[in-house]
Amino acid sequence: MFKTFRSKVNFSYFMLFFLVFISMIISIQIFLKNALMRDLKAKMVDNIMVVKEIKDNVNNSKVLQKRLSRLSKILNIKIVLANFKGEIIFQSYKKKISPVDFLNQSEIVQSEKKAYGICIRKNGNTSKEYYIALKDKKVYIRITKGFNTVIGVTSDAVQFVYIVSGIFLAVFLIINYILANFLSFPVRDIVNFTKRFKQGDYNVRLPVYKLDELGLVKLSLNYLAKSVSNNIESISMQKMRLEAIVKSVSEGILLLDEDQKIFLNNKGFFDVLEIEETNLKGKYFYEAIKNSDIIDFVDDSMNTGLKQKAHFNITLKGTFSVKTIIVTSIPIEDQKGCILLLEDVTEEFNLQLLKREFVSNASHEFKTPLAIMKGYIETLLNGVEDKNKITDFLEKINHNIIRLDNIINDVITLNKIEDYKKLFLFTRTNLNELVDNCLHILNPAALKMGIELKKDFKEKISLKTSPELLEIVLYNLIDNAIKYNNPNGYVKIHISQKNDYVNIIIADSGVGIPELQREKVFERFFTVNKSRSREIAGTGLGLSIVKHAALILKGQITVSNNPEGKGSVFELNLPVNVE
Amino acid sequence: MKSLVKKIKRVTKSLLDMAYRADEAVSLSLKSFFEGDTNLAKKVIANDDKIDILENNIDRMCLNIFALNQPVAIDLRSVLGISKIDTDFERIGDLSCIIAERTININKSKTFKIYPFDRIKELASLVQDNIKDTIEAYINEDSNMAREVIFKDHEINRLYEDILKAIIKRANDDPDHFQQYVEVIDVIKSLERIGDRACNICEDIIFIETGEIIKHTKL
Repeated sequence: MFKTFRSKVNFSYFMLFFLVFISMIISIQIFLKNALMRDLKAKMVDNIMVVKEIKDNVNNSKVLQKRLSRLSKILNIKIVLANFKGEIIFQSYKKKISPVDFLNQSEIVQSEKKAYGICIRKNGNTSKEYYIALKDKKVYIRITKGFNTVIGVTSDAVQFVYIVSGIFLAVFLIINYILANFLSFPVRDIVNFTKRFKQGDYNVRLPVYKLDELGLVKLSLNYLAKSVSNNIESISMQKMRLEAIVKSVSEGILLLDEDQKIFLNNKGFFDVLEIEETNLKGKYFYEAIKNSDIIDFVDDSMNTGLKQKAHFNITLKGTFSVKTIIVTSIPIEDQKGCILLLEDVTEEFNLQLLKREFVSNASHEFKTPLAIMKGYIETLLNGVEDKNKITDFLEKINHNIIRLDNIINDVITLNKIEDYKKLFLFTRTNLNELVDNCLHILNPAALKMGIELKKDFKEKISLKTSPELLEIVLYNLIDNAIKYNNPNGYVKIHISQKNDYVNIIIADSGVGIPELQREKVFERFFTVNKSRSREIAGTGLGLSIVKHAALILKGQITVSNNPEGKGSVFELNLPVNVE
Repeated sequence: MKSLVKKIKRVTKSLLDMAYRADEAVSLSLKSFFEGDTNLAKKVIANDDKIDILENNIDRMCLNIFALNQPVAIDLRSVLGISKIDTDFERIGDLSCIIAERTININKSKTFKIYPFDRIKELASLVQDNIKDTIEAYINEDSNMAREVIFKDHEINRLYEDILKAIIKRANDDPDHFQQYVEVIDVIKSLERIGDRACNICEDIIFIETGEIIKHTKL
């Protein structure tokens, strides 16, 4: 009911004043009444003494009656004189009184024992009257006065007291209200302060006006707030630093509590697993990492309390590819949780596979021509008579040496391109000159097979690129187009500029590439037709070189079927300007 | 009471373990199918044992909960749902094995080319998405997502019919590879069934969340 300090103060003051006023009114009323009654009694006693004196001094009954009648009119009293038998001797009013009734009246009975008999009662229908009786030598003297006048005086006085005390009460209440407000003002300040502090406004402080008890409370609250806000600031700084570290790490980080629930994760976690970012806090880790092997691994690590590291393959949504990740599980001491580090090693893993493949492929490619040469040389050493045969053998040995040389050259080129330490210089290059150079070098080979080289562009195109690399690319593409062509076929070179890109198309009328193997032609040592490749001393590295060179030139290379029937089309898109 | 909560948590974890294995089996069997990787297919078949063992374990755990804890309301529905869902995941694992086995058979032919490669890939990625979404719906207790999966299954069925017709037509023109076409039909049929199983699981998820039985009713 009284929720605020102010209302409590108000109510208690009001009650206090109210009680004081009530008791005051009651006591005043009682005091007044008593005083008036005493006064009235004294007056009546005086009156009766006057009546007695007149009766004693006047012997003539007619004169007496006259005098008493006048007295009753002057003093506004009723006078009755009666003998001891109750017979009325004198009566100042008309109503008849029987002797028995008169003797039985309380004031007459009282007057037998005391000096005066007093009674206040109603006489018939009239209002209250004050009776006083006196027993004289031979007669009873009784006088009566209306009591209403007395009451009227008291009630007037009481009414006056009511009004005055009402006014005072109202004034006190107003003062009380102001006083309560004044008293509760600092308390309300403190309440507001704590409310704002709770809501996180740590900079709020209390104004201190004077150093009374509440002022001291305010001061100590201010000190408290200051130390709390300092602590919170330093803690949040620490937290921010930690979070910044966790967030900036590209590896996925998960912090698990003892129930294996996640209570911290970073953005790297979503990147490594390639899943959408969601709020993981409070989820179980096995709801976020959807791989049974990792779950078993983490369970094992948390049960044994040992740091463990292993790599896992995970499947991705939407594609049928597999990712390789390394998970490191570091249990926190006393098995109170665990830290998980997830690292994406798909590229490294694939690169390792490629390297292994490259070594085995390269050794195979090197071994084959060597084995062939070894055979011919052994035969020659054993002695061959026929001169033609010797020439034939030597030619074959030469062919294999050329092939071996090609392979080694290509491997060197490929390594040079892949080795990013060697920077290729980008300069503005005239594409026409570059193509003419390549065609000039390759023309004899084309003539040998009766292949027509068509140059299908006229305008001069220049672009910012590495001429060294671009020449390697063009040479390899045109060389391939000639080598894998049919006799009397053609090679068409079309160059055009589209906005910021130079589009180079090299089409041939050759054997073409089957649809399924189209993606693989850019892999190292891949050849569509092994025997044909060997015949023309191919290495299987040419297109691999082209692909890597195109990547460094920030270009794109694609292969498709020649729309004009047989053969394939290589399309190279290069940006005109490279930053 | 606490032991019931713990038991349900444990059985849920086992079910998720099983779900991830089934999902992996589907993904890897499809990868082996599209890339012609016989070794991967063999690995999928070898891994199926683990899923079977998990099914038995989960069934035993559920039985244990029913017998000793007498769960009520949501707990009852969860345990009942889990004991139904695990059967579906086990079947998904088996169907992945069928895909892997057919892949091994198909790879024996050097000249056969999967037809229609792109559309089967589309079907496969739809099915794979549905399974991953089903698992997500189970984890997040998301009955709306479950309803979406059921809705998407119609598309899978339509695509399956289309591919089936295309293969039958092609098989008539290319009788040399008739056996391989039959194997491919088996693969897409398995895919379609995996989709159906995902739907069943989603129906159970809706039952767990809402108590509503929507099996054999039209959505």
